[in-house]
Amino acid sequence: MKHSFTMTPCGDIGLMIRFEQRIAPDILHSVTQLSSRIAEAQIPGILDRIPAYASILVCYDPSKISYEELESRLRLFSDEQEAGETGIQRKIEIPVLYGKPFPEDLAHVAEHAGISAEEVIRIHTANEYPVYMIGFLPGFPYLGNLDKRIHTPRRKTPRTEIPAGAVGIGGAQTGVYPIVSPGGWHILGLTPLRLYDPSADEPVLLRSGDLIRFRSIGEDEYRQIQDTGGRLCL
Amino acid sequence: MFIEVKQAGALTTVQDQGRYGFQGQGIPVSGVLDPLALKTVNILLGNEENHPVLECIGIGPVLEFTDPVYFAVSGGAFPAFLNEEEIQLNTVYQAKKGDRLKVTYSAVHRSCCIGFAADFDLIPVYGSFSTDVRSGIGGVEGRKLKSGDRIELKNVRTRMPGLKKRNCAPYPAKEEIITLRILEGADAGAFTDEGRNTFYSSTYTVSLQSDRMGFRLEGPSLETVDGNDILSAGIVRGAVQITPQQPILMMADHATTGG
Repeated sequence: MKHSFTMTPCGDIGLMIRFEQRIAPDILHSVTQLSSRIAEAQIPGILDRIPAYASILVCYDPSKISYEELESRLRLFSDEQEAGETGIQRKIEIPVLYGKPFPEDLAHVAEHAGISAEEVIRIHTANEYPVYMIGFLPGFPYLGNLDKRIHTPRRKTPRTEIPAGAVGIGGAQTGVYPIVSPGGWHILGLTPLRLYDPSADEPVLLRSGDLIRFRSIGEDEYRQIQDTGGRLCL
Repeated sequence: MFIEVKQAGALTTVQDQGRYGFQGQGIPVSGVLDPLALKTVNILLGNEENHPVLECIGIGPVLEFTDPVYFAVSGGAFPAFLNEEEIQLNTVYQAKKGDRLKVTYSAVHRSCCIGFAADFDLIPVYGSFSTDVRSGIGGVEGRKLKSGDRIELKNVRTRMPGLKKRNCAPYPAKEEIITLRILEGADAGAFTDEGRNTFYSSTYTVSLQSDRMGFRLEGPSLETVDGNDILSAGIVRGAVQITPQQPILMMADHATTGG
């Protein structure tokens, strides 16, 4: 691996792999590479992997593999070469109907930044956002690379219900709520795409390493995509 | 045949040991809060250890059976009645056609499991029957049971050899204070010595606001080291997450990441 990592026990059912603790594309690359290497190795006793910003939690069954054995198996990966940066990185466009359902939030973000609502939308749709990790809710992406001009502190009073598909800003982060949830982010708009669909074979649309771009759409297109079930044709 | 849910209880769901392999996508493991109760009830009934059961939290349900079925109740000390007669925990009984099973509530325990010598006619989702209400998957339509539900049973076993011996002792009487053993995690350095000392020397009470996601512990808060910015990372069941208000013990439906 390009970056070295440490391993520590996480209770009696987890092993935490940690890289240098920073949010950066090169660390993300090491995380996704190591995570897929571990998956390919099919080590008996591993139940699950949770890749995050700069760590991978490996969940295991201690009746099948001991911590020491797991640790020594995983240590072998540290000497392996990483594939180059040219690995397949999916690019996914997320259509957004901005200004819905809480137009006051878009206005607040604009006011906080000292710019117009149109300018907020232009900035939000300009960047490409890497998916650093999925967690917190089913299919919830933690995105990086939000333009500093539209960083906005969270709402003082969180809402008890934010609808599925809400695209929001919380501090330096932007993301999409895949299911109805309470939340303190400012909601810029709504996407008709379903990021989490429990009836699908692949329940979750995004995965870490994907590159996201938002595109502003009107109500007609919103309804069209919604009518097709909110599925994305990749 | 089917089980008719006369009264759903507070939070009655179909659970097994849970689903692994999807936490990287934000889908929690779920499964019973009390894996020992799941195994016990299934071993008594001669099922696979991971056979799905009805888990009851808070107040149990009232169920009516349309045909005979063997069942057992295991886990927390929830007094239970077959028709009007109280039954023992960890003991296999046969319900007759039209019988009613009423599981009440426990003042000291959180959950119990009702197992059956039959299969629920349900479809497993991502390898498990466990219900996760928040993700809307598993069990009956991804939700808790409600009064009027009918759960179809199939492969109902009509013989139960050695019925009289199919029982074991329930949990010992509750200890007032339970000592949990802790293995410090990678973030333990986020607390001052004083903060850790507080944690190890205090008694915490499980809050009534606890649920299947986590048990909130009421007690003294912990002093943290300033400017310690923890990046979000995966969490395991049993982890103790320290929030500014209180420690939370992560349970079956806990979010896959935190921090």
